[in-house]
Amino acid sequence: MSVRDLRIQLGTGADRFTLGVPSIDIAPQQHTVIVGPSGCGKTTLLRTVIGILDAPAGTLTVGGQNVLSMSDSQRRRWRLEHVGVVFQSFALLDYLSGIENVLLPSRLLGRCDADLRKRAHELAERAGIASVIRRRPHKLSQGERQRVAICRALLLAPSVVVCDEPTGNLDAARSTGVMDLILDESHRTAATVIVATHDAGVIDRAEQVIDVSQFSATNAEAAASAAS
Amino acid sequence: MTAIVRLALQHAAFRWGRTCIVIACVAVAVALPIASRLVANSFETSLTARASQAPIVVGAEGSRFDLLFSSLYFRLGGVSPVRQGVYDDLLATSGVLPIPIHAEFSARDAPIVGTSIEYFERRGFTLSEGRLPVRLGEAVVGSAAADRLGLRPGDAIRNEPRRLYDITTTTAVELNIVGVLAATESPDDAAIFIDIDTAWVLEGLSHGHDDAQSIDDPEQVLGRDDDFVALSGAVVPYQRIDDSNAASFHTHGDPADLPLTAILIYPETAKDATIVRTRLNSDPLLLAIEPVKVVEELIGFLVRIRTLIDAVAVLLAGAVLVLIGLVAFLTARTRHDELRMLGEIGVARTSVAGLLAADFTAVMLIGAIVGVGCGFAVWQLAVAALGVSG
Repeated sequence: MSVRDLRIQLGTGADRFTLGVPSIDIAPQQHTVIVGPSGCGKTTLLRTVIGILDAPAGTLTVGGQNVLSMSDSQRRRWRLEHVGVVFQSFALLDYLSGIENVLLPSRLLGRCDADLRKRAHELAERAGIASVIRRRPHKLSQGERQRVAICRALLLAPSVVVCDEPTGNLDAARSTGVMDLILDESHRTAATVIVATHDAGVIDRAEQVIDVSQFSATNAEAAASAAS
Repeated sequence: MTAIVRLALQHAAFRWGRTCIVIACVAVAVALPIASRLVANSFETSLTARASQAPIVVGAEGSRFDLLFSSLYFRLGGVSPVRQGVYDDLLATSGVLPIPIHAEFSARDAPIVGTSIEYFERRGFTLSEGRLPVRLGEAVVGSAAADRLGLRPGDAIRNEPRRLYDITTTTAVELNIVGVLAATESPDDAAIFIDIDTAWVLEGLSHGHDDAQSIDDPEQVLGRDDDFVALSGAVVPYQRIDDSNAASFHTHGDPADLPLTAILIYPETAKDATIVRTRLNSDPLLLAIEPVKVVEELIGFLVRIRTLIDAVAVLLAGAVLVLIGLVAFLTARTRHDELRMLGEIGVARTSVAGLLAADFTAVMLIGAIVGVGCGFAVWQLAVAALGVSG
């Protein structure tokens, strides 16, 4: 993954936030952690890297593909097929069971076959949630929900796994377990892992750490008050 | 696309409360106009078919609607009686066939209809069991009445006296069931048919009792000479008619004054119809109606009611559409995070929109299907309750 002179803009007027990223390189299968204080743009960078947010300037290449030159529908398709996303809030569908949530991307791609079902159950087994995988999210604990979300992100063996504060809601012991699962599975499928976190335990295990606070971030409101 | 539809159905099933409310609203909006139209159409068809079976009906002066319902639907006690003498005059008139109708009594809520054998021929009745009544005291039962009352040939049923606790009125008479009619999907199915002479026995205008000459009880004999015996009211008339006493039944007074509810008239030609109708309407004590025209009047009222129901249905549909719009809006709001998440994991915009559309369409479709089913069910229930043919 390669980022060059990326300028990310969010919001308009007084709420506008701009983040400039001069250069990032992430090698294939590398475990990279994005750190920085709250509000510095970790999540924004992460969402831009996987094509959820657009950037008006710069280049962003992932696996040889220029993500910014793709259309919205192409980016969505690419994300569904090649990127596994773990959200801080889990983002599970409350009307589906755990296993149905895990299988959701494969269903949407029309690839929900017996092999993927088997893999989903194997992932659940490795994540330690096999016994509760048929329950709906509201009957699962926070940690169980997080592991369901991780299984969903890993199911299609994506080339990139992106996690936004995956341990933010978990205690230290559970945090370690969750990261073990992500890193072990990613290693097994040769995936690149990018994690935005504050968690020192997660940072310690990274092969590369990117501090977003080093990049130039501008808040329009702050800039205006500074100027006055 | 299958995955999106399945996902939508899973969401609809999970939010079953919301889904049921929308389905119920749509179903009501769909069912109401369907049911009202079907019931009105059945009612119209049934009324018109029944009315067309009797070209002219004559009765005593009064309401044409009461005469229609008394003569063709056997609604009891709605009209004043018309004299048997009118029937006799019509019988003597060439080019018309008069059929007497006497519908004043009931037995266990089934109307008892006194008529002549021509009625059975004109209506084209067939028997499912037994035979037609040929003797005094015999009755044949319509199919629905037979089923409801559990009557078969060989059974008997008593009429309900006009005033149960008035001992001066005629007591109930036992009717012998000799046949059951095949179903005709008409008011005839719910009736019990007897000969017109038997109807007058129920009225107490004809009766049978012990031979007057053989009665010696001074309480029962008011006077006697060589030819006549005057009996008092203490003589109890027979309440059961059988071979041993049938011959003793007789009528006092002028037979021309015996009461009928109505007379159905079947003219041979249009000219005969015009002549007889003109003649009857010239008598201020009589009312001659053409049932088809009276039914057309009724249908006119019905059409106005149906228009009102249609207007209500349109208003209801409008209210339901607003409600559905509100539900759709609130659903989209409450599902905002879910839809955003789907987009972020890579679901196409069209698929996200399709998810909402499939959810909405599925609920609307189920509501419409339930509505159509309910509409037809209400129609069937209404048809059964109103006694009209579907």
